[in-house]
Amino acid sequence: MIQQEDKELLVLFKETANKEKAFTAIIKKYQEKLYWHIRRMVVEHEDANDVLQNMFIKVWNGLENFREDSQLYTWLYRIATNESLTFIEQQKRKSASSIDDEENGLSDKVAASEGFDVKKLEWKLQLAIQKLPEKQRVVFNLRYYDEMPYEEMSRVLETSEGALKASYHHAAKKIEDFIKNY
Amino acid sequence: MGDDYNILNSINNTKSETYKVPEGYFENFANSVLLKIHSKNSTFETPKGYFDGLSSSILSKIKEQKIESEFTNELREFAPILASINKKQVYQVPDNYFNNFTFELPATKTAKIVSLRSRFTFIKYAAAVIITVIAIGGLFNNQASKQSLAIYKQVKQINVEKSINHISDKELNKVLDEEQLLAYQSTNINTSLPWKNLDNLDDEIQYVTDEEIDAYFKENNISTN
Repeated sequence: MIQQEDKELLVLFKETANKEKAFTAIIKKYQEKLYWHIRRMVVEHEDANDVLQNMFIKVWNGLENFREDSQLYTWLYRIATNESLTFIEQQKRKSASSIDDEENGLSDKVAASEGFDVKKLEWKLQLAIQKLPEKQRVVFNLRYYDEMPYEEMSRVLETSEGALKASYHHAAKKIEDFIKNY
Repeated sequence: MGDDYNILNSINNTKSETYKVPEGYFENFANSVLLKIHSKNSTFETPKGYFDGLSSSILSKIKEQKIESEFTNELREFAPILASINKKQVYQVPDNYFNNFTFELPATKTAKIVSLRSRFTFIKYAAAVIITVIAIGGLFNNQASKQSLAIYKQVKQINVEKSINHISDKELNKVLDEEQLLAYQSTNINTSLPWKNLDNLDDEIQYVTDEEIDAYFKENNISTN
């Protein structure tokens, strides 16, 4: 059903008269899921909004050349992931800090979030996620929050399902340990 | 005897008056039952096309349930605390952010290509060809220290419009084509991830063989299906 709707939107996008209308529909359909995917990576709303905007501008530029041998949904997630990681990389370069500092930086951002309560499990979880290596964090978020099947995730991240499963299990165990010991 | 009869008659009369039925109730009873039997199917109405989509909606619910249990069960096996945490969003989003989310459409690719064809740009690229030709010529001169100064002097004296006449169409087209290609590439999306492949997820997995991953799954009772 979703695939069919996407196909219809892609056909509309190729018609000059319906281009903007179709693109608006694509934004409306995916903005929330993609926003949260990005937000979990970059933590702050303003940063997530910037990344989301840039991401959709890139989608606008590239959608005409989008090859329909992959799903629009998969393609959007890949761009969102890419843009989030690029943003984090830029932030890291700006502050010219080490990986440890980056992790601390993101943890600090979590701690500065509205409603933060270190005693609550939900917030401990957020802190633990930021302690994960960048790539594990992407895998964990896609599986835990987006409940993405490994098969789909494999297409988004161009990685074998086995490696993704192993990564998710490592990440989840690390988080579990962090929560127990924090 | 006469008294007994009167008492019985009186009791019977009292009995029949205790409960009353609407007038003509029994006469119409059979008809009303039959009417209800015949109109049974139209008592409750279903939305139009309800039954057409029923099977697929049930199947999708079953599928959802299956996926949900798959995710939860997977986590419960090795991270029970994590499985018990409420997944609700803890981060705040400004009110109506999603309803008001808009973005400015960027300039179209077509406009960019047209601007490359403008006369000014043409001259600019022609100049680039001339400078390149001079610079390449300069490369054969091993006096490196004098080279840049010489190029600078030559560039300063270039009359671009006049010099275009000495450049072949082929050379100019080549430059324009290359620039156009670059412009096209710049608008294209690089969808490749910053890491080549997630197989090197981290140090723990980077050098792990498939057999070791399988063993890891078995040790932890994780299904690989």
